[in-house]
Amino acid sequence: MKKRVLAALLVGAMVTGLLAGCGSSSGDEGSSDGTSGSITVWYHDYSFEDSLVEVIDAFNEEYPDIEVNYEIRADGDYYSLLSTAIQSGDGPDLFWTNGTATVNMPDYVENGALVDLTDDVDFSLFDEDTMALSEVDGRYYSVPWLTLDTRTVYYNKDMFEEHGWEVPKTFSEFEDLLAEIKGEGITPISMALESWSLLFGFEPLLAGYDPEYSAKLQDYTDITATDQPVRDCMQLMVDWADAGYFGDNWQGVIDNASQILAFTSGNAAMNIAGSWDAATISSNNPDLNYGAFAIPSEDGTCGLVGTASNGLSVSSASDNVEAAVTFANFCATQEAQTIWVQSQGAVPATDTIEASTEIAQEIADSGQGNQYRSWQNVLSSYSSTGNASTVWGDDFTKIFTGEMTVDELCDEIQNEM
Amino acid sequence: MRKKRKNRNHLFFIAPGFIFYTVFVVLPILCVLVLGFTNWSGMGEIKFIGLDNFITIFTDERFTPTFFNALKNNLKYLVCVWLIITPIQYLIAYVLYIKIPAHKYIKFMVFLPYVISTTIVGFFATLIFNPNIGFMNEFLEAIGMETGAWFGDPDWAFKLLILFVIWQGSGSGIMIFYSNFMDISQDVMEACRVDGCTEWQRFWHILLPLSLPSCASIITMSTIWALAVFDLPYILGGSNGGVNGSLDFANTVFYRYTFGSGLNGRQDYGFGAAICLIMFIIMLLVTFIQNKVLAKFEYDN
Repeated sequence: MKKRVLAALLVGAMVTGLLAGCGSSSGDEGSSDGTSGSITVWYHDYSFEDSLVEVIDAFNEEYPDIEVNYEIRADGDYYSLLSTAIQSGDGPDLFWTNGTATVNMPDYVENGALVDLTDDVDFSLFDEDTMALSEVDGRYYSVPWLTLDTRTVYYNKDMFEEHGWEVPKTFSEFEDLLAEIKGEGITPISMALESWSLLFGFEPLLAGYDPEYSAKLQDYTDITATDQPVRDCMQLMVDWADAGYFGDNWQGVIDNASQILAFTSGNAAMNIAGSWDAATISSNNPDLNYGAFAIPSEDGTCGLVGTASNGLSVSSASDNVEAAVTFANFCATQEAQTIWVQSQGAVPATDTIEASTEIAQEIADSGQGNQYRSWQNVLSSYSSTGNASTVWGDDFTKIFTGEMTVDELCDEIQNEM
Repeated sequence: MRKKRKNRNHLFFIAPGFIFYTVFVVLPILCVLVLGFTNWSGMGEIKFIGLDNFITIFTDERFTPTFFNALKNNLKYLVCVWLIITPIQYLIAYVLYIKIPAHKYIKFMVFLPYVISTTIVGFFATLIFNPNIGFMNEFLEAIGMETGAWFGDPDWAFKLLILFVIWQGSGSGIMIFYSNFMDISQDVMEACRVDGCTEWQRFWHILLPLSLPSCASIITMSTIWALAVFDLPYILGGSNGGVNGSLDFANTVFYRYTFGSGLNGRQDYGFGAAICLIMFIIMLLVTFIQNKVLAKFEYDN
């Protein structure tokens, strides 16, 4: 009998021990007097790690008593990890979201997972367009970064020089250039058969194709998201794809990484992609001599499509909200913004910060000071059903594979607006 | 006089495993059952919405075709498992068993890819078939043949996937067949040699009938695997299921609609759970029918 009791106790001890090991580790998060303690920050990609470290270092010079830890959760399922962590009460104190560009942040707001920062953070650095990223029902829930996430045409300078090609000044010059490059047996533009890659090609194309329409996207009045310019421009892009301007077998390129590789390895003369890809291009091939231009309109005006990017939100489940808000407030300062933009090598979304790399400066200059709203952003902001952007994401590739016509896609999107 | 009690000490040995299995396997399965009737996004309140998820699965004009296309791919894959992959595994095991020249080397090489992780296999596929950086197109161009888009070509994508599955995954099945062959009693072999039967007769009348049990278990396992395939198609075709949905499987659909760009762009654990339940029922049906058929494979004597 004694043995049995002992065995039961042992089993019990084992089980509880193991369970405790598996359970949530609710560490002490420091004192709650606000100016001290430790907070944890989550970011979604390693490309932001260095910038985050620099911002934290600068923060600690001012607030040495607050210890800021960070974790990069680049596992692909960032949002599901985040939701699970928040749900279990074990989440970070501050974390990145895509702001209002995706439904995740508004979803968190609806579920009371975020702290309302409207009155606690000084947002004076940011203009209205930038704050749209952070705004849900008139209140602000995140601190944006003044990096302009725009799209640009990267071109291989050496290749252009060798063949005597010139950076185009008008839209028809651009079209002629593509035909000429193709004629010499080189892939004019590297592209991937993936919704976002195609979008980052389509949006600057639309800006050059019809700058007037692009400018109207800002307020989204008098126009719809699928007006004739959009349809024509999409059709033009499909025609270009069929003409082999993206390469003969480009449909086998399904991710951004190999899209970039075709450009950095010298197989393609140009690559239309996000401004944030500049760092990857340079690290892929440090010897590549490349520049950037914006697709010009017929009368020569250029513009950049894109918005500032979103940054950190404060979790309402934080054990140390005060310290977390202090950090958020620091992120909104000129000092932190400058550190972030320059360490990212990003295109600054404001005149008060200088670009730290040549290519970023070149991209910034190529816009001639014009800035357009992203077409996809209109889909996600003004969809009556909330599904327009999802429909686009699911079906955009289908117009290039011939499963759908441009009109079918546009009608489908319009149904959700 | 003490009453003699049944010795139940074994329960203590069972308990830890039983408790863990219940907590970490049985309970989550029951949770999925319940979640299938909710629209839980992973956060906030869990709201019951009755059969809505299931109605959406079978009637939504966007989701239903996607789901059935994925199911069709799963079944196509299943047929490939039955008619192509398993016979190939069996054949290779047989040629290894009859000790063809260099069989030890071949055995090693055939089994080697099995220990490579799927991600790396996907990377190999990129190195070979990617139109931008892949070796295949360069090679074809060099010998003057036409190049292809490979995984971007709906006619090719599925075939290439099967090729990679055979290359990577056949090792385990081959080993099971092979060890089953080795397990066949030498008495039987000697008897047939004494009786002077041909190689073909030995294969048809001895090896094949005596290896049916391992066929049954391999077919059962690869069927379940075929219906739950995810990793390789996801890596090769992306989460959108490849060109024209040619690499879209039930699990990639599940992944897409549960964790991200689903019905309304939000995470929807409830909807995902409903897909799981449907897949569970389909798997149950297929396995049930298959077991009925495979029951004949068990030898009686």
